Amino acid sequence: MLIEDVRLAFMNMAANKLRTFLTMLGIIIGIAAVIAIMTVGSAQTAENERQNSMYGVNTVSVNMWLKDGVEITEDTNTADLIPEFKESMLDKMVQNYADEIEAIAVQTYLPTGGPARPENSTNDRIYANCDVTGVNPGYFTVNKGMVPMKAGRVFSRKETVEDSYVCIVSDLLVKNLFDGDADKALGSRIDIPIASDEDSLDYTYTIIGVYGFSDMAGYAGVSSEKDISTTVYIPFKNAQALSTDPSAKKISNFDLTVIPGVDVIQFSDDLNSYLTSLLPADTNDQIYVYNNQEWIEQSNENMRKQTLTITMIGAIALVVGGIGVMNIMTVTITERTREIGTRKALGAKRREIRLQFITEAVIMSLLGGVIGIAAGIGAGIIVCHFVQHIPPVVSIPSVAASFLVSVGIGIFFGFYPADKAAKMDPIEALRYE
Amino acid sequence: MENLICLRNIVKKYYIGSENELEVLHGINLDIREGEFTSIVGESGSGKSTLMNIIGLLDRPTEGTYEMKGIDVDGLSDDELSDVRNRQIGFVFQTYNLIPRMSALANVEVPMLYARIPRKEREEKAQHLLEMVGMQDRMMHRPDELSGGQKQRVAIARAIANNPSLLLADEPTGALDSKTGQRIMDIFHRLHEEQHKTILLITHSQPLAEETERILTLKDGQIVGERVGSGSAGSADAEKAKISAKDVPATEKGDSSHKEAASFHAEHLGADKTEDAEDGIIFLELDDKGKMREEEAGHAD
Repeated sequence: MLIEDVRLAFMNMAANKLRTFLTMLGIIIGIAAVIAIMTVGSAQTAENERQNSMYGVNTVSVNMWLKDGVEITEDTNTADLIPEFKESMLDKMVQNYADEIEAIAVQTYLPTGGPARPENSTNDRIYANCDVTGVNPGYFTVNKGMVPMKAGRVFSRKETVEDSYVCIVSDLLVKNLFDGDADKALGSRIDIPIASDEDSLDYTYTIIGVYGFSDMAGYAGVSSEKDISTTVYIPFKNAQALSTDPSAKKISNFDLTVIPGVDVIQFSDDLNSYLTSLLPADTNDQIYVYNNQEWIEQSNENMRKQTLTITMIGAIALVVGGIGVMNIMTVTITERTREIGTRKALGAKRREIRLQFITEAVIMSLLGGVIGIAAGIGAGIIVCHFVQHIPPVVSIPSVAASFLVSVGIGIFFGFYPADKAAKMDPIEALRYE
Repeated sequence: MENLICLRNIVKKYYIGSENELEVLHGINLDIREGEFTSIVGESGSGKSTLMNIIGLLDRPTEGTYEMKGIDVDGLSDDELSDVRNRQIGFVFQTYNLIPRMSALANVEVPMLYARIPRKEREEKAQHLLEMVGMQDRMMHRPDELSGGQKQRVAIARAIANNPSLLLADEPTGALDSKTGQRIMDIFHRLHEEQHKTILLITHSQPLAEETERILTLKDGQIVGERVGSGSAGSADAEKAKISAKDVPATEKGDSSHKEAASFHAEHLGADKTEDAEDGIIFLELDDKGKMREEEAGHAD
């Protein structure tokens, strides 16, 4: 019986293709919207988790900012306003939190004037695009997820403090300049043009370490691998010395990792008030500490809100779609009054008529749901790929839920018209013109 | 023979209790025996549709009792009535009432579907039934691809699908031209002759009624006359002879009915195939030339 009803439903839908499609549209849009946002949402969550594992859950970022509302007049020397963590302050912090802090990372960026090349190379084809960042050895501990050391070593304390011309480069740079031979690269010297005020000067650095490049910014697919710019790390002090930017001379932010087991969120709050207490009373600065976990939670929370909003829009579309199904089923039943009368005369019971039309409504909304799921996954993939640049993740539970919701809509909105059909008086139905 | 249906003092009123209360049937008494081919003749407004709806269990009488095969059907629920209709009654309507968008075969399967007959059996039986009414070449055609006569044949096949006790035909030739109508009537005659179906024909046409065994005249909601039709001549048995002797003056049985009966016999035996070839196709048993079937299909209606 059910098989016949399903077959009949498809025949009747095929006989009214446009009408059926228009009816399904509400359901298609509703389901597609929800599936699309779910696809983007799960992709976002997966991406957050991936980043989480790279940045490390134990990473805390500490910033010093100028307070809001600090007045800047003509007499103000803007260089004086640049916030700075004084050495003494950092020392106190390290002492105070000796049991919690694993490593501290400071960094300063240097503008480059072109690609890096092997020392004194004249071959135009051998180059590696790069940017330059000065860091301390702790940087590689804090960022071990993002900048994993693959060969050589990190800076020694001496190299960090003494303005040495040594560097740590990416495996991609080694590939470009040394045919991927890390052993050959280690100890080799490269020329890096570093921009100063007017033009750029080549500085020669000795490679002491190689790290594995990971494409966090998603360059792959945007430019050829050969032209991807990777970071060359040089000692922090050396970078400060070469920089012409006054803010580079001061540490206004740093990252740190806490020892595993320490409550990061608790620690961040604590550190925030501790550092604030170290600031002079008349300070123009404020401390802002944030951690990855908090950020991820916030990001997930935002995603949840977005998902909820779009799900609600989807739900409205589904209700409208359901009403559409109900409407078209009412029309169908009126059109097919004689058929219903005939079926009753031939021995159909109420529940058999009811089942026939509920089946038709369910098939219609289920087909709409399937099209919606396909459209939603398609839209989700497009958004992930071209807008968010993250790998799409199809949310299986939401696909399953969409199936159920489609069936539910068919049953719910199909019931009333089907019941009306079931209760028709056979004589009147047979007489209907 | 047993009484198949037994109606006693059937009264049907509409708008009960209101000012314009209308009594359509005024105490109908009617027995139909198994194997009888009966017709009810009446002008429009005589109440024959109402009576048919009651006999067909589509409607309930206001007063009176209705027994089918000795069982009182008054107390049955709507769904139980559906069941009785499904198994005991085959409907043939003036307007065919085939289900659109379904093939002839699928249409014939519908009553068997509701009787929960397995799919394979259903298909085989529907094929056989369509062959019986000469529709074997158009089984997969949908109603809108069939002529009126062809539609009515499919409808007859559908009506007998569950081998019902009573075949109820409401103006089955009303929408057909006389020639096609006659062919449909021939099918009923053969169902009666060969399968001993109990048939109740409801019509306003006297000539059609004349072909049946027993003619009841309905006027203003009452049965006003009963007589023997020419159909009884072909299969006369003692009981019918008794009725005819009792109810019908001998003069009413005119020469024409004898002639018709004679031709019916001749045709049945296949003697006048050349003259009346088209009629021969109605039953497979009589149809020995596929070509004739095609001719029939070609110019039907």
